[in-house]
Amino acid sequence: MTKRRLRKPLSVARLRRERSRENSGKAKELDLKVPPPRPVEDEKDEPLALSLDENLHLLKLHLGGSDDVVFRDFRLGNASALRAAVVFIDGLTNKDQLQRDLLSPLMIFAHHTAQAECESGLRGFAALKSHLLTVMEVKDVGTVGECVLAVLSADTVLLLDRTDTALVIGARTWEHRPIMEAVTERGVRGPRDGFNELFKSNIALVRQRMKTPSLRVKFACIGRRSQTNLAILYDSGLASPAILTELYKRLSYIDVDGILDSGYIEQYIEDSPYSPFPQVQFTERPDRVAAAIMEGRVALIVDGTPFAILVPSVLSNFLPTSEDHYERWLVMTGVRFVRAMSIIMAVLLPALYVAVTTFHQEMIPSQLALTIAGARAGVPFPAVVEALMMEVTFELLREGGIRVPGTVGTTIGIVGGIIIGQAAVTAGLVSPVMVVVVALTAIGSFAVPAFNVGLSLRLLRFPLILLAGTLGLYGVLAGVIAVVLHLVSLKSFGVPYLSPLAPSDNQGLKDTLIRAPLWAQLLRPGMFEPRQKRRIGRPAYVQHPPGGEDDGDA
Amino acid sequence: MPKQKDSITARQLMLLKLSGITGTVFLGAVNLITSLAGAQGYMAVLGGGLLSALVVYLATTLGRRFPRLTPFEYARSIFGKWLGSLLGLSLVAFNIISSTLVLRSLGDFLITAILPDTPISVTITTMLILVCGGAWLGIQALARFNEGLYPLGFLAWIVVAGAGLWRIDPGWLLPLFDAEPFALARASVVSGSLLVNGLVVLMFFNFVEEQSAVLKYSVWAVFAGTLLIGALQVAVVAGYSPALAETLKYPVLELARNVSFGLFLERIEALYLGVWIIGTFVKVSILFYAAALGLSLVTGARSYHWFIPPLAAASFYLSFQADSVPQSYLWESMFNEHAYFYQIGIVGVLLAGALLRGKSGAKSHE
Amino acid sequence: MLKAPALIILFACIAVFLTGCWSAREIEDLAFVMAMGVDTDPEGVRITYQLALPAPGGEGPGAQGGAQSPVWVTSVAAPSIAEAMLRLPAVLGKVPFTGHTLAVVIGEEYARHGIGELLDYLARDRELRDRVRLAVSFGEAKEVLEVEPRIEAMPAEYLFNLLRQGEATGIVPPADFLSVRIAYANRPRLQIKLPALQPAPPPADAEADPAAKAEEKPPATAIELKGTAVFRDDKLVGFLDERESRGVAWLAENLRMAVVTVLREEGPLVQLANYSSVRFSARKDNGGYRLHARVSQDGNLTAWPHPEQTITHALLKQIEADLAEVVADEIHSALERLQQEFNADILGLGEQMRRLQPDYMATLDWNAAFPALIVEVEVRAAFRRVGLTIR
Repeated sequence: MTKRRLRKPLSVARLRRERSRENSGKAKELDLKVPPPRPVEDEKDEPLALSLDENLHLLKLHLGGSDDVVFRDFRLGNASALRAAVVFIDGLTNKDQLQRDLLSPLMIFAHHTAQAECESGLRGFAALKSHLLTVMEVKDVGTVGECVLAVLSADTVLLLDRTDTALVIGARTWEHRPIMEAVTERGVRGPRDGFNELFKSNIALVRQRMKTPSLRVKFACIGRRSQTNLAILYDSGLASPAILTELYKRLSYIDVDGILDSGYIEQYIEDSPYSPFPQVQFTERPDRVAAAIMEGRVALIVDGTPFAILVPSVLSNFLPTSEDHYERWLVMTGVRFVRAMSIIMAVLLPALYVAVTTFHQEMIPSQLALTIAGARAGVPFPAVVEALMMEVTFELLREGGIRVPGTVGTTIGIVGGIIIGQAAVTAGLVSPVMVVVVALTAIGSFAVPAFNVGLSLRLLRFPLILLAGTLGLYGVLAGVIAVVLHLVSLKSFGVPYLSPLAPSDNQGLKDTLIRAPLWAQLLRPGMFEPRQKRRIGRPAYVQHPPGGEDDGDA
Repeated sequence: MPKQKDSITARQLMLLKLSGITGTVFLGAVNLITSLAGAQGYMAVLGGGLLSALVVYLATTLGRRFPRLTPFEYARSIFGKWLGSLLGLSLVAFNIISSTLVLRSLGDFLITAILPDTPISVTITTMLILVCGGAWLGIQALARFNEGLYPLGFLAWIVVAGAGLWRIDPGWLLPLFDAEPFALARASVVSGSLLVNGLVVLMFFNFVEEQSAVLKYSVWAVFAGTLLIGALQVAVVAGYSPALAETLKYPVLELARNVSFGLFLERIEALYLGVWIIGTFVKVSILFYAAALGLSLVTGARSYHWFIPPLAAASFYLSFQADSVPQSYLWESMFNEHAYFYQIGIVGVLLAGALLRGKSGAKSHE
Repeated sequence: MLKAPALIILFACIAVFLTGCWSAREIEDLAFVMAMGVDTDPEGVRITYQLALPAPGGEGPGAQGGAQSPVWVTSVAAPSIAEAMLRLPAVLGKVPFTGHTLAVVIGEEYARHGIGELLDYLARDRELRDRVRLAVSFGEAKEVLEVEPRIEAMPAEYLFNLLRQGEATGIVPPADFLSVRIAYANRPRLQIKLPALQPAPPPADAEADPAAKAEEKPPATAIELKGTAVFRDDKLVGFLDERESRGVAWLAENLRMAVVTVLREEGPLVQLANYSSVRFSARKDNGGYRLHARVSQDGNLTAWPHPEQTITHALLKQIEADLAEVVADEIHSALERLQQEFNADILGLGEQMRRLQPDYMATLDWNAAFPALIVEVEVRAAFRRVGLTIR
């Protein structure tokens, strides 16, 4: 009669127990800080002087060497009023806003509205801040170093005579790439906005997707010369304190000249730099970042790069795309199988081909064996050498194709591949079967959604081919065992790399090889140890559309 | 994240046990059981299942008395320093001998059936390198490795057993009660030792997190192992006729070889090779790990890692003591026939000692 | 952490591998043996190999056009089989590879001397498949391997398929290598039976060519199946013709396409039997036991000589009785020859007796008891389907 499938209701006692367990987990707010980077020249930072001229002199010492730093003197109001100066870098500053919101009120209106304060020093300063400057971001600073840093960070510094405090005003603008589709992670379905290089807009994109007060955005600054801003995003109700503490600890250890991309941070904070497998995931898409945060992971957004990084990351994070969750589960489970097969193929196919044709010819169906033997009749190299040669050639083609811009690159890739393959076969250097194998392998490796994992797999292919040529399938197996052993001992921020396969975690398994329907994934994957296990708002039944056979019966 | 530094779950223990059982069954065990018990080999397997369940039960009881201590430690606590160390060393020696025999028979198998011209030292060395790596990483990594890969392996075994059972002529098993009881008993003992699988439960009980579930899971492992080995036994005997089966050196290999999908995909035993290699690797790795751990505890060293290379060297040397394939096969059969007595012996002695002296320990291990 | 000692050990291990890959054989270096033939020879044994010439795969250095025979037949003589196998590389320059061998044909003379050595050699070979078919040829096996059939590209495949079809119709017994090994291991309760065949004589018009000399007659293009070769222990003792082979087949329950002709006064009618099974039981017979075999078979009525006569139930029962008689005749004639003339239990009756009465069987010497065994045959034949017309 009724088509709904009701789940059994939990008993009240159990519900209370679980709620109290969750609530007791609401621990104190973590107070973690990353120490700021030390300045390049290790001098002591001096405080500002009272005299404007002296301050300007100090600033010119530090900044005057560059020609794009602008020092603008003016007086507040009339010719005898307080002197002031603005320091900024041309090209990084929104001069319109400065003119409108800083120079105009101070030069024109100050005289009328705040004359008395403008005569004095500190009172004038306070007046400026509270009712003269019509600028949003205003901050006091007291040392020369801070002023210099502010100017270099595209802010504007306002100095006042007879005051040893300066105001840092945020009026930044510069040319930047607009929000566009994520280049490296295209898909059919899902939001198309991707991060760009602007720090604030990236954070904004994530904020738009998680409008919850428990989302924390903590800033940090790393890199002595680059002074790169970093934002650490996590959900304070979900992220495990252990992971956060470990992350902050590792970030505090970084003491380098510059951070040019999140990849630098990735390499400094990962667990095993010697492993071929990445332990930190990067993404260009804000929806993936939001999804990760909601699983209990932590995201780092780095200024100046569209790639945000997610920690901790285990192997099963690298394999799905975000599209996997936007489509229906049955279809996506099939897609996942194909993807898993192509990944295995990408690593093992050349090795298996070499092993089978060199050691285990009885496995090949008879007709195929004869065909392969015929195709290889004139080839001077043994199968191992042939395989290695073709793989290296393909890698060369691929690298070459990436560097050449635009359609020329694609054309070179395709044409080069076809021509080289054809020519090599005709010249008798390789057998046609080998070309097919290499082509299939290459296609398989493109199916890996995460570029860095694809790179690792490409690397692994070569030792496996060598082992296959030496010991046949036994060699391939030994290689596979060695790789899996390595994976098994790898951890990313304490989470075993092969979760949820081993140790098995049922909820995580529902999203690994198969993709269970969304209404069946009640709990978050346990491997990240989120503080709240249950995804809030679980649906209690599968809905059928109203009307039709159902009489709208409740 | 696991609570102890080196802990495994009960389910992982079960899978370790099962993978050890099925990991080496393709070598000599089925042949041995067939030559002893003939067409009634499956009864011997069932008998072996019961015998091994007994050992498992005793080992679990023993383990519960000393929840966080390894057998090397509580042997000393029960019997005093010298006798206890001696018992611990005997366990170490058992592990080494067992692993050496497995390695050697794996090498024989590979060079006979798969890679005919490769010298056996290469195959053994390859496996030893992997085993050293595995033992170095510790029981937790090995348990995870096994947990991830073994279910596929078990599936492959089911395919082999199923395909084998498909082609049998059940008449070969008649008459049903023909075997002489003593031969059946001997064969049961062999299969019992195989199903106990080197006292996995005894050696790793203290690493398990939920120790109350160990008995249940171990019995499941024994049950599944018995079923599988029984099925393989029936498939071999009834598919090849007892007279022929006794002459085959690697009957399970023959079974796997002749699985074919239609007429075009034949002789895919090399794929099963994957399952066999992984099973052997796991079994020998945990034996090595336990042996290294035992040595380090008996001698009071700080960590077990540095005992692994000497053990590997010893194993390598020992594996070449047999001069020919028949001789190594003979030694392996002798070991298999008597291993059960050692297994039940050591568990029984330790348990009896603990009960009589009223000892139990609840100290945590590390 | 583990720097120096680990690296040293690692390099030491790698050095083991640098000496070379041992079991590697490039696939183009293999000589694919598609079929083997074993004959006697003054030197000992002569093995004939039917080697596959690899099919050219597209453009490449191995491309060849034109229609030529895809196999090459060559013979090697040596004192023993193993030596003959190992002398082949000296002739060819390639290592023989039996991983894809489909059939082994044994010459009559060699079979009479005993095939035990051959069976042992084949059993030890790790490359041979268990589904290889064995057969005995009248005359020399070499001639069978030289047949160039027109219907199939690969002669060995033609032979293989021919044997499989023959098994289904009952003309020849199933002789995959596994069954042969089982029989050999269980003698004398179960003896080996192999198909017998010979190259079909060339069609009459080819001999009309006046320019053809006797030695240059064109190779045969087909192989005929001629019945069963009966072995006792490992020696060939005789042949059963097609009808007797079918009698054997009824008792071995593997027929899928047997064609049985019943002669009645109206004319011959034909049944296509697609199912047959047999159940054995042992009945007491003053002191000992006799075997009772109940054969059930059914099939389709495919030829009925009287189109104007409707097939009624009573008529069908009569015909079925006649059919049962025909089948029983076949079985009896086979049994007679096996028991009296050859004393070779290729039916496995001894094994059946062992399963039913193991104690009694243990007291018998089967070589002496087999000829005296009484076998009662009861046949139930049926026509399950009578076709689309009822007349």
